[in-house]
Amino acid sequence: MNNSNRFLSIFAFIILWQSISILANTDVFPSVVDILRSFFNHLLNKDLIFHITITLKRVFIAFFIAMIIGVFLGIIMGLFSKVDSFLDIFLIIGLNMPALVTIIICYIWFGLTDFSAILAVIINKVPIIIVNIREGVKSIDKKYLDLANIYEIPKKDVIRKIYLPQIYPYIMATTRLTISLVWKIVLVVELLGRSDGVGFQIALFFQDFDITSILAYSFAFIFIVILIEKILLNPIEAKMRKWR
Amino acid sequence: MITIDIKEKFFKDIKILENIKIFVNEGEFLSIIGPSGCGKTTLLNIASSLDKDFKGKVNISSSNIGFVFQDHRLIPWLTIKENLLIISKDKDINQINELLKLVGLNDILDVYPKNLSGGMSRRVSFVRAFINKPKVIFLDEPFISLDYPTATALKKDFLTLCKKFNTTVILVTHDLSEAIYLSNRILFFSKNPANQILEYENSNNQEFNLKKIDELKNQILETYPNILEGFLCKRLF
Repeated sequence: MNNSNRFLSIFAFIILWQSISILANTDVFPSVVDILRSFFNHLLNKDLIFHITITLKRVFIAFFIAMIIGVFLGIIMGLFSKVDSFLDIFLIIGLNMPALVTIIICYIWFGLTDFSAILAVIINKVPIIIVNIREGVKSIDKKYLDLANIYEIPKKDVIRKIYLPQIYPYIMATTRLTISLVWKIVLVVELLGRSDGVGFQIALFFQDFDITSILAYSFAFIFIVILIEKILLNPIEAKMRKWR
Repeated sequence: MITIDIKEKFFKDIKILENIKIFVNEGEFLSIIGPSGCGKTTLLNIASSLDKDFKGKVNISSSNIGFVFQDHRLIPWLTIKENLLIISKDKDINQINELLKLVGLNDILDVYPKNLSGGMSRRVSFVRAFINKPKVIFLDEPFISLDYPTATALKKDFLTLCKKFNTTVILVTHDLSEAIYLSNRILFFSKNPANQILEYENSNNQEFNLKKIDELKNQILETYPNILEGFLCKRLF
């Protein structure tokens, strides 16, 4: 039922889009068929796969490094209130720093390189990861720690079987959030200072007012991100939710 | 075996325990009875070293202890097997199975706590308390919120386990009948701050004889009418 509803909503959206494009009859509102044609053209020219691969690589490097730093600091800040109060001000600054400023500063300081691009994404996204994980750690139910005290459960078991399972839902939610945020910011970073990747391509299409290609690229990328979620994240989450 | 000497214990700014001295002999079953909110659970937490923020001293001859909480406190994301193994010192699954069978539980090792009834979860929490063959077990009103037949069956099972391992027990409760049935000695506590007001040597000898338990209960209520007024649960079995 859920799936059929989903197909229905996608179908309705396509019909709506197609109708508007027929009514509007302008180059800046291409039809679904035009977008699909453009998509296959870019696919056959191999530029689509080339640029998407490069962007995906940046997304994953930035995502993994940001998650490692963010989860680590989030756990530490959640556990130790002194560290939390010491770092909190930097967190607030980080959360409120416009992505654009971070990107430009990184490009000026470290040059127009992949390193700067990925660093900018990491700096921009680590604070939101920390906030989510810290909340998760703070909400850990302490009553199970009484068990650990009474029965002298080894520290490693306490961390693996009592602490982490309570933080997993937060890590999972943060993973989803971060992937969706990171790929969008990677596109901006590419647009501003890289000579390849989806963001760079979109900048080129923008100069040509080629909105059909922009949409073809965007939908292709959205599709891949959804696929990653379905194939990778959903099964992991289902496994973790078994006890609920 | 166990010496508890609490000079004072504050919760925020309120003194909840004062001048409490308790000695428990090896193999003894001691009940502590008192009004709700008088600090029984706090006393038990101090005795079991869960709470170290107090003035005084606690001495237990063995660090191998068990604790049954007011809730079953099974970890919901671990299966029953994992719940029991995580606290087991020798990780002996056969022994765990044996204990589970002793309280009438079969084939539950791979299920999650949410799939067990209240009574079954409670049984598992009792088994967990015995897994490491502890010298001492602390019970914090563990039969509360269970229906009468389940609670009665569990009390019997618990006594069986206690005898098997010659365990020393401190039970905190507000149910006088329960205390009379299970314990060798009963300490009565008052409230604000909690203080021991009566020590009662129980002659029941852990027999499940409703008539005798009621008689003893009435005897206590008649001899010390003021002691129970207003705070004891007068519910009979």
